Amino acid sequence: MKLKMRWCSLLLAGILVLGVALGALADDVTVYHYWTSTNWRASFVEALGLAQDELAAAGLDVKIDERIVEHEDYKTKITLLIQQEGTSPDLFSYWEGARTQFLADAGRLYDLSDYWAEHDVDTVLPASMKDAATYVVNGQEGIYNIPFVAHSAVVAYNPKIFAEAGVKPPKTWDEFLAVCDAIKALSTTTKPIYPLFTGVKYRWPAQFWFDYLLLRTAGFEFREALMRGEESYTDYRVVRAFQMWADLLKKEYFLPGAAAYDWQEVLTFFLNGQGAMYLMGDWVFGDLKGMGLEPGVDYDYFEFPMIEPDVPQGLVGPIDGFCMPALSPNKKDAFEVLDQLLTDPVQELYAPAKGGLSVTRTAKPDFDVVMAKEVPMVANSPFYAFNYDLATPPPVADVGLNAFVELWNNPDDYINILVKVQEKIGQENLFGE
Amino acid sequence: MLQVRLQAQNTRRTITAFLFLAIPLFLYLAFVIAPVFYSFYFSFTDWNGASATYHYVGLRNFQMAFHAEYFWNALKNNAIWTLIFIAFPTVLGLILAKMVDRLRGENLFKAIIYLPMTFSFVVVGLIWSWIYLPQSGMLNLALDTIGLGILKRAWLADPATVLYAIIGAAAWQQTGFAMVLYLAGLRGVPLEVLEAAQVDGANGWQEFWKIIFPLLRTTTAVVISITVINSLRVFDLVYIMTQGGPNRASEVLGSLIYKELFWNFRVGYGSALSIILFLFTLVIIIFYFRTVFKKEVEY
Repeated sequence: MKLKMRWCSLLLAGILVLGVALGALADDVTVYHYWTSTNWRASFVEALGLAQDELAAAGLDVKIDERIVEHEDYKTKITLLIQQEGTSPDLFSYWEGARTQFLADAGRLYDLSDYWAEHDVDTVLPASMKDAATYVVNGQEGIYNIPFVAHSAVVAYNPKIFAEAGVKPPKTWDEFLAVCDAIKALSTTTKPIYPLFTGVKYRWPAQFWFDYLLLRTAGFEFREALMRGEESYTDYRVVRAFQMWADLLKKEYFLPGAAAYDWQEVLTFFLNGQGAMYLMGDWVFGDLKGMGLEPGVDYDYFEFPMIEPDVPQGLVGPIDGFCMPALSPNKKDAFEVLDQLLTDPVQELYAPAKGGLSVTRTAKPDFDVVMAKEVPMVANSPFYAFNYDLATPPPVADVGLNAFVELWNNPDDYINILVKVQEKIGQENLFGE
Repeated sequence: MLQVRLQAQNTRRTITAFLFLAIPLFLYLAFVIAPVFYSFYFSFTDWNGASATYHYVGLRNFQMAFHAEYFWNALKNNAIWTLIFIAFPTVLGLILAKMVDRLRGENLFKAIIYLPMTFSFVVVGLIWSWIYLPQSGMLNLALDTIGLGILKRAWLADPATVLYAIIGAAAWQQTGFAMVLYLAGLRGVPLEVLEAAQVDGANGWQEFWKIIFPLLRTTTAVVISITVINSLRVFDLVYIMTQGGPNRASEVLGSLIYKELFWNFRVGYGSALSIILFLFTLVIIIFYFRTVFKKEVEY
């Protein structure tokens, strides 16, 4: 009996070892991502399926191994995974901007400039996407993050509440304030209705307010200089943006207790007809549609209103792309997968599901009536800025995001909050040498 | 000859014991002790957790920590957590243990009170996050129902209440643990001592305060030591419920260290914070061990 048990154990161990070895021998391309919402993941898996079918049709024996990590944990986990040969994926989704810059500076990313040239990516992606993908590392330009889907932060609104209040989407700041007042007047004790709502439990949703208030008043150049540490948070232009934000808070336009909700939990208020306007990335449309809401009927959007007529009215938002770790074990096949991710069928499948825009020149996704409006909006935008926590180094973003939430609880203290931000940046040299 | 054989046998037993211990000891050294030394080493550098290179910066990280307002804020929150935990779950655990001890249906009561300890911190955090929701959470709805709507708060969004709300969730879980330890302590109280006290005319309170409680001194020291250690190293619940917000109002050293290491990519600085926390905890642990091995009160 003992001998039998011993042989069984040995056999089992042998099978396990063989399985691992065979797994290692297969031409897997491991792809990590953080798109955990049900419809996002389903669509991405379907898109990868399309990519794999095309690769098989081309006679390439490449298996795509899709791996997912929850959105908030991903920011931590992926940084650890790409540092070890045994755990490094071949490709991973990541945000263009300061986060990619950080990893590129650390030498953890593979420079995809040769890939871009050899695979004629210039014919696939427009020049604006190449700009977004290009980073300066040790004085040299390189391409470190291939764009995959582009997003814009817009004001999603509930058309039914607007109709009830008798208002239309505002184009100017004064119109916006009038809309807020009209919607606030609809509120009753039995059914409170909030003109503005967001969930700042994880802090980052608050950034879009700061981004747009600053961009609409101080302009793109000043904001970029602030993000680089060349301007001060106590500059009058930043103070003005904070003051305007504080005014919105003091007028009680916002859902109270915003810090108790994350950005998805707070959608309950939209569904219940209690939240009118939500400044958020357009990926929220993917969630709203996934909840069964009808675009154009149950939700729509407008661009953040103009504040200063002389200041160009650009857009804020992240671009999701794919990076290749320096330790990627299967670069050759990963390049083939990247090619497939930039094909029209994949772009046309995934972009609408994700609530974003395709990045390629030729893809024409079958957008719903809401997303279709975004295409000309983006095309006509004078500039495209990354949102705050992607535009400035992570330690600075941490201080800024805390300040945004502090403003939420102490709007009267807005000047002191900015003073503390600037002090902390200086004391701890958060922009580095 | 017999002595030689016995000696050889003893030697064999010792070697066998060490061989059995070798692997777990190696794993313990590799995964518990070595990282402590690793953290200590990195606390003197400016490593960002991703680059292949870093520089030695001396005590700069420690200086930065002691000058940082948010460090003292986190330490203050840990201190508040510790004081509340000593006062409430510990005392409540003792009271519940005394009530439940040798009661009919004791096992059922023990199981119910101990049940929260079987939940992971993630589950506890999620449950209480929903209970604390401002609009639809059970707590605010209950306050409304019993006519105390004036006490409603955005428990996790209000800097004035958030820390206490999270501590409340942790205390709900921790009380059963204190109760179980005290129950074990109560079982160690000799019955004849209690009988003698009754014969001498001691009432219930006198029995508890003058006989039982002194005899539970070691148990109390253990409970308090573990409570303090857990209060210092708390992280999971804070991370799940608020991530230390709003605006660091619920930040504790554990969540601060995590953020500096993994969000801000300041591994050197985060390591310095973790060494500071380690030293605080070490003091408590030394006290804990001295108390556990101290001679107990005897009657």
